[in-house]
Amino acid sequence: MNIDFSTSIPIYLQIIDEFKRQIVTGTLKPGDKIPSQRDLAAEIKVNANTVQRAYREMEILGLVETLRGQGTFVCQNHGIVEETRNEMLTNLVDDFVRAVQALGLSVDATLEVVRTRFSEIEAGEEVNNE
Amino acid sequence: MSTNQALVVRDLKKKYPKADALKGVSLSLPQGEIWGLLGPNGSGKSTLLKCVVGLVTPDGGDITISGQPPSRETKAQVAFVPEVENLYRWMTIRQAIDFTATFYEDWEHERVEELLNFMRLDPTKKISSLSKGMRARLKLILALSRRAPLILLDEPFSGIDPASRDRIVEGIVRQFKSEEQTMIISTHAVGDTEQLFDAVVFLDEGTVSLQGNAEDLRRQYGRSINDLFKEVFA
Amino acid sequence: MKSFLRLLRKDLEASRWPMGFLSAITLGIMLLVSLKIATGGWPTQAAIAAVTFPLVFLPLWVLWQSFQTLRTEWREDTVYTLLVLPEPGWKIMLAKLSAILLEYTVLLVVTVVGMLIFFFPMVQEAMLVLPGAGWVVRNGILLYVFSLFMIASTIIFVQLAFVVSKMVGRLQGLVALWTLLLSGWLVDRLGILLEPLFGWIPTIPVHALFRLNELKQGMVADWNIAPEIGTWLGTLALLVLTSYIFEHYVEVNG
Repeated sequence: MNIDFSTSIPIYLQIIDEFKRQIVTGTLKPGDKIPSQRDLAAEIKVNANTVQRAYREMEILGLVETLRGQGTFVCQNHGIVEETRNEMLTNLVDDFVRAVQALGLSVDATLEVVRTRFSEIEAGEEVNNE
Repeated sequence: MSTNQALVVRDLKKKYPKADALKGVSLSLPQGEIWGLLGPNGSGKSTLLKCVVGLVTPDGGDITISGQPPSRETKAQVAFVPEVENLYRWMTIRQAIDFTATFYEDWEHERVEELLNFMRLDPTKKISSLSKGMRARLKLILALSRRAPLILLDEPFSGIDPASRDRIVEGIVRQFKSEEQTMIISTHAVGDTEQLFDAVVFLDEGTVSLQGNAEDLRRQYGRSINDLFKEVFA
Repeated sequence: MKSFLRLLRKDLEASRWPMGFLSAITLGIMLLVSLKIATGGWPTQAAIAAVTFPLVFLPLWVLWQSFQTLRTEWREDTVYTLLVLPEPGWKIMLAKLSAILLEYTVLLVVTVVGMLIFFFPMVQEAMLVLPGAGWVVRNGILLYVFSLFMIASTIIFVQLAFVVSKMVGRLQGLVALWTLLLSGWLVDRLGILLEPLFGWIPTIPVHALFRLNELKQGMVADWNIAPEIGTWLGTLALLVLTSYIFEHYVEVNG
């Protein structure tokens, strides 16, 4: 795992986000084993208590489960990828919508641009903002 | 996390001929955590740690280590790495290890070899021939080779090469046993070591100016500990 | 015991270079003098000077060394290691004291061996006026044992003075000097004060101990040790005091 931390955001949240991203993109599949807390802590050079907090939180969220003596695994629950994807998408869209609303733009006009940009970026014609 | 307090410092005071080093510092460290003791040079970080290990006699206040006042018994529970070069220069690395091992019952011989490997040190080398970074790594080995309940590192990153610093950070993360150990790391340059800390204490001219859980502080201020540090001590 | 031996070994190893240097100088001077004598450059009496010089120098060296081994710990910051050890102060102090006594012994042996190697004819000559090799060896060992007491108390005084000076931030040299004078005076007074308590101890017949009557002109000498006992006890108490201060009150610089 490679996390480029921004230390201005709680680190355990960034660890959780990274796992979510890996689950959504399929890097991690349901049932896959994830690193032990100590290994991950050593790998990303983060306090083990912080990693422990991230894992505990992920267990509460139902993303992973720890089997005694075997390690921690991504939950077998098949809805998990879908759910996580929806959640991440909702979060992204929420941020986007609030920003767009702040500019006073309409839904239709915005969606039009979203669609165009989507295909342009996919085609590799990324336009620099500046 | 256990609610046992590994170290409690109450209203600690120390005066030096030139200035006050500590003007009433109070702290309470829960067992199992790594704390960052942050402040510029001369803020009293070093004096605080020295009081805990008995290198300096405080003028007031009190200290308890796992509930006991400092004594010969608490010295056996504390691993202290001073900022200065406290090792006998004429010794080889192996001799320094053997010397230190004699005095501590919690010494773990297997761990030493693992750490020597990890820290990339050749035990036949003389200490006087080592670079500052290598000596810093050796000092850390001597502290981490013990199952000491309380580990105090005074400026372990100061003036050493980035590679050595990375090794030291990783060594701490790998070897620290939060089930039974507690650690304080003092530093005047937070830099990229802040992800080590559960909690931080900002020490400013002998008083605590800010303290709290590192993640809570990040959330509360929306800033890294390093940025907060720069702001407080600007 | 394990930790005491480790400390002792550390102190011995720390001064192995100066020890080698001093031994080499002692033997070097003797070699030079013996060559000068052999070539007729210097009179035979120069041998006496070559042997007495190291013997006179040794107590001075002990004084210096007791101060130096402690000062080095502070100057090289290794005192940070010593003071955090979970060991009683007396072990650290006694290890230093023992190391110096051993080093004193080594330098003494070097001098005697050097004398036998380089000035053997003169030693043989001297033996003619003495009552035999057994007598010389016996008295030599006795003198050595007595000198150990003297040397040990010198070390104890210096250690106390040094350790007390490290309790203050300034004027350490002055404090050390005063401590040295004051503790010497105190222990001396203690001896006089406690003398009546030890009046029952018989005087030591020094002439019998050293078999001085076997000399050509028989000598008679007695030694009343009653006043010394208080001094010795006082000196021992100083060692305890030094250890206590070292463990509880001494500070590192800055």
